[in-house]
Amino acid sequence: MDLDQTLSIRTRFTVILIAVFSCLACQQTTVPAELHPDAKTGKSTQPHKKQGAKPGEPITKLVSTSSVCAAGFDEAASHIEKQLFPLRIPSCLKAIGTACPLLSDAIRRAASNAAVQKSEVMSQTLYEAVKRRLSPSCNAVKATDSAEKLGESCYGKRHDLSSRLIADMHAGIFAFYLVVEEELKTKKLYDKNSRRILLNLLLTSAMEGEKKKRKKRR
Amino acid sequence: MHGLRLPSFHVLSTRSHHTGHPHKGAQTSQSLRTRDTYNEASSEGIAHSQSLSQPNTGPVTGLQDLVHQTVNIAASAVVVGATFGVTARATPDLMGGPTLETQNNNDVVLVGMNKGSGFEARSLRNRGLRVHHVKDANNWQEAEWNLHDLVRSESGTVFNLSTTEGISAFVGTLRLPSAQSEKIKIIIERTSEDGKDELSQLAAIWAKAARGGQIPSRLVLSGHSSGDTLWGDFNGELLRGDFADLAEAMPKAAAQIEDLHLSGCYTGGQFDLEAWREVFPNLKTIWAYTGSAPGSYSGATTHLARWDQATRGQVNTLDRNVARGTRKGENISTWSFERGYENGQPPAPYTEVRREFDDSQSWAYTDYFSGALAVENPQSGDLRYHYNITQRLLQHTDLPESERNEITAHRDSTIRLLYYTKTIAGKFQDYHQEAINAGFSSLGLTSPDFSTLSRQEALAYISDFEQRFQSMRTPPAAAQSLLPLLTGGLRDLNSAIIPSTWI
Repeated sequence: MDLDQTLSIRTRFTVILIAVFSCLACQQTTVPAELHPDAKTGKSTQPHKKQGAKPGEPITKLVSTSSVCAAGFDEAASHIEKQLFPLRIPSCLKAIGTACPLLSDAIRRAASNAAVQKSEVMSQTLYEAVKRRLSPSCNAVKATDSAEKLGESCYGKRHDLSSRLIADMHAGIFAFYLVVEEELKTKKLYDKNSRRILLNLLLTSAMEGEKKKRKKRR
Repeated sequence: MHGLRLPSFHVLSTRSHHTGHPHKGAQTSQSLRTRDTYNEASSEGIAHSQSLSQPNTGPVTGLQDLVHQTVNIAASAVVVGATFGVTARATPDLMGGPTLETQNNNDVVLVGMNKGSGFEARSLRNRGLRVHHVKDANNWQEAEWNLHDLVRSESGTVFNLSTTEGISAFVGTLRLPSAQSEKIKIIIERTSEDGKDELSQLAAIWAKAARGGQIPSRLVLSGHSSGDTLWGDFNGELLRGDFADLAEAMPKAAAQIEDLHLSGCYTGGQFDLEAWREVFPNLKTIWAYTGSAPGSYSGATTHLARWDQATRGQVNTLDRNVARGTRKGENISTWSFERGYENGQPPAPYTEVRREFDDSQSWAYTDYFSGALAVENPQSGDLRYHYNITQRLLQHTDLPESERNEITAHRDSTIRLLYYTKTIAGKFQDYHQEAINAGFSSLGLTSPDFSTLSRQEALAYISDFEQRFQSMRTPPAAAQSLLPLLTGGLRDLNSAIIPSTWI
């Protein structure tokens, strides 16, 4: 079963579960921590509120969309980490494309499309989707250039990321990472699992880049 | 004793050392052997080099320790008894547990974020080493618990670290002074989910050094990495900052670490290794990877063996070429006391380092010095980057001697600036309180409390003081005494006035 199917089925299941628990909240004021979809992420999102439901309204309206994202990222991160490293890039992109409806359409569409493309085209697709959202201080680059060509003025001093890691990956993928990371933070969706998906994307892309450079040298 | 009861899910179980298993005091020795073998000689990650079925040889170093241990363990036993109906009695023969007695400095602590780290630990043990394998609680916990963050204390009590009470109770078993325990508790609390278990196991090992004992001087950190982070599949994440905070809270332990092996991708940049040297001030060697690192089953054990051979005993040097010809050997970078940083590339030319120093001075140092920006974490950020570049410049052989003193003074001021909010301002206030009160009063000014002011506010007070001082023909003696302390000390952060012990 591929990730799309897994996510959609599991996310639907989670939505139903949350709805059931929200309904049960008529008798209990709080959802047990271990049942809350955010419990695994350690992040608190919007609490389930009884007063949010009006008679006749679809019960799914009670579900916090960010909770759905947290659940989606959780499922996706687990799926990704079952795979060997070279296979993680498409899975990470599929996850970004499908796990969270709150991410912008352009990001999700580009991620889903890129997930089934080969390396160079993938970088191009991702870069096209985000290049207008990059800081004006970013250098104009080709999507397949080394990400370091974007320039430190573009991505700042990333003390958390190795400069060699940045140098090893395509500019298109790194630019995409920067924009998605920013969007997740702005929308308060950046949690343990969404971070983990992005870290896996970064690391796998850099490792692939390193491998290609080594082949070229030979 | 009843006052020590904790909510039921904070302490999960006690374990008899004769059985090595929670709840199961009657377990057979046969099953014990099986379990030990399967789980790389032990199951909990605190002290793995000693068979659990061996007689307890735990250290009871004195009557005071014994009494302290008895109280702690008895308290735990009451908690668990209340929760599970377990009637374990805390007696000295249950307390010592697997020991961390270290006979030489070849012992290794291996923090493994991935399951494959068990293979790495076994490979080192097969070389005759005592290895303390810190690993994910998922590897050893009871299936029905299904909790990410558990730790087992020396006495065998299992604590749930996802609750504040569980963390407090666990930290209480480390037998450290209360102020230090409080710091460790806060550090574990803020560590990310599913990383608390590994960090707590490390704290348990390091606690021995904090109590005056000896711990292994060789540390291996194994996991996925993209630079300053270490994570494992289906496991949590530890940042370099987490290790740095723990090292800062347990300085006697940090001071004993001499050899560091970073078995993770992209860990070996020069900036990163400089940052690790700040964490462990007495490091002699570091082994890391500028690019991808070999996996547990695809070369890591070969590299660990070469590293083990190269860092046995007391060494001040480490040659990256010891792994030449091995898979990913070309990606190794090393730092050693004698040879400095090596990654197989020629060292950066002086002009490049100098330019980076000058640039970062304008965009990093100046704003922090003026107080326009405040340091959030002394271990990371732009000012820390500038400090590391300054160190790199000082180590460069092409730095003109005529500039060395000036750059050295700048480095000393920068490290004090990094710690200005965290320690310097408070210690300055404590140490010079009388002089501050007398000096400001003598000029008719209100005395500030520098420990509560931002650097920007403090500089404004110092400026007012200086102006009032200069407007007087004969300033009072108290003001004359205070002025150099304020300007040379708190403002300019001269090492002659702000001692390094305040950092």
